[in-house]
Amino acid sequence: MLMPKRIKYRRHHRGRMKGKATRGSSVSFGEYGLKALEPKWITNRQIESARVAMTRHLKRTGKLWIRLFPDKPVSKKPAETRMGKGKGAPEFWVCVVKPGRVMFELEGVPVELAKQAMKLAAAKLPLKTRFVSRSIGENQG
Amino acid sequence: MKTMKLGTEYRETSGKGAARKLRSSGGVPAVLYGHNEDTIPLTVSESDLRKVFASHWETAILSLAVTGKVTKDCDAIIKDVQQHPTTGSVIHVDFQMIQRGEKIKLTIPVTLTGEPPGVKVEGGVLDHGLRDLNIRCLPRHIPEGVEIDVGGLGIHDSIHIKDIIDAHPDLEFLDDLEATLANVLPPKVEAEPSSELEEEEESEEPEVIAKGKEEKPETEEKSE
Repeated sequence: MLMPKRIKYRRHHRGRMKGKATRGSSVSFGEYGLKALEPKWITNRQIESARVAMTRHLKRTGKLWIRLFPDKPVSKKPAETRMGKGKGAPEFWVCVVKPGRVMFELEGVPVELAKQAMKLAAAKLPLKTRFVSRSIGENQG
Repeated sequence: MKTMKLGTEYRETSGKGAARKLRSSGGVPAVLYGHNEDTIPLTVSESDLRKVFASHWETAILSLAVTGKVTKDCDAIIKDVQQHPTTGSVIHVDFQMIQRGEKIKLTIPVTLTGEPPGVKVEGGVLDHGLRDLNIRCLPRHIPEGVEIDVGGLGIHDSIHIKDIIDAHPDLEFLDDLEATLANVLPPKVEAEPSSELEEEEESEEPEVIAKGKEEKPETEEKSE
């Protein structure tokens, strides 16, 4: 699963997810993409799950880009622990996704197959998404 | 080269409030600029723009008719388009005036035609490299795009910009000539166990970059 190799700090603040994605909001590498319509944290397990769903459906054809990287550690206190005694241990990794972010891209497959694969991937993600393509005006919703 | 007509109106207002009002009433703020020309703020109808974007708009020459406080008839290309990140609607357009006999820089799309034997027979994946090319040319030489025949590509074969220069003598390519336009990648061999989600928890933690002096891993973040 995706996670950083080296980090500067083991624990992060939660932060806020205001605004829309100003970068990474257009299809840049492939032909089709899956765009986030809500702000959410996406865990490395969800990214992996979506990737597996897509690659299995595509049967190793086409090329897939994952434009997310979970670089934010989320800590958790153990169960039945009293409050205090410092912040909990890092439990998993998340990627902060803002509305408009293109999360996955595909190329080299027919549009219907790409739509199906993206639909399966979207089912693994905790946010509303839309299938988008490169052309201007087609992605309006 | 394709020519299209587009009616525009001089825009007297500016700023995000005015732009939002304009968009809600079916208009799109735009701007027209050119070499040795003053910049003109414009309004374009969204429905007219949609017709333009339905075809090869990247390389089309638009006959712009500006009406209102300032009137002007000129030829222009679409230099930049800004889209809303979630809805995808067009929120601003840049037009660049063109003058006959003066070279301009623009971006043209690359399309691949044919099915390479490396994909059809050997099961490889066709990788589309650059999808847009930056070129400089005279307005009369603007092509609709660059079409590349990939019908002869086997596995590991590729086509670079330097391979298509001879076919387009009127165009000056501004990108790196070694840049890949199309490439056939070998079929993927997937490592089986890596795709399983039911793997054991990855207990391995990333290495913490020590800053300056040696720090204890547990206490260092307390002062964060």
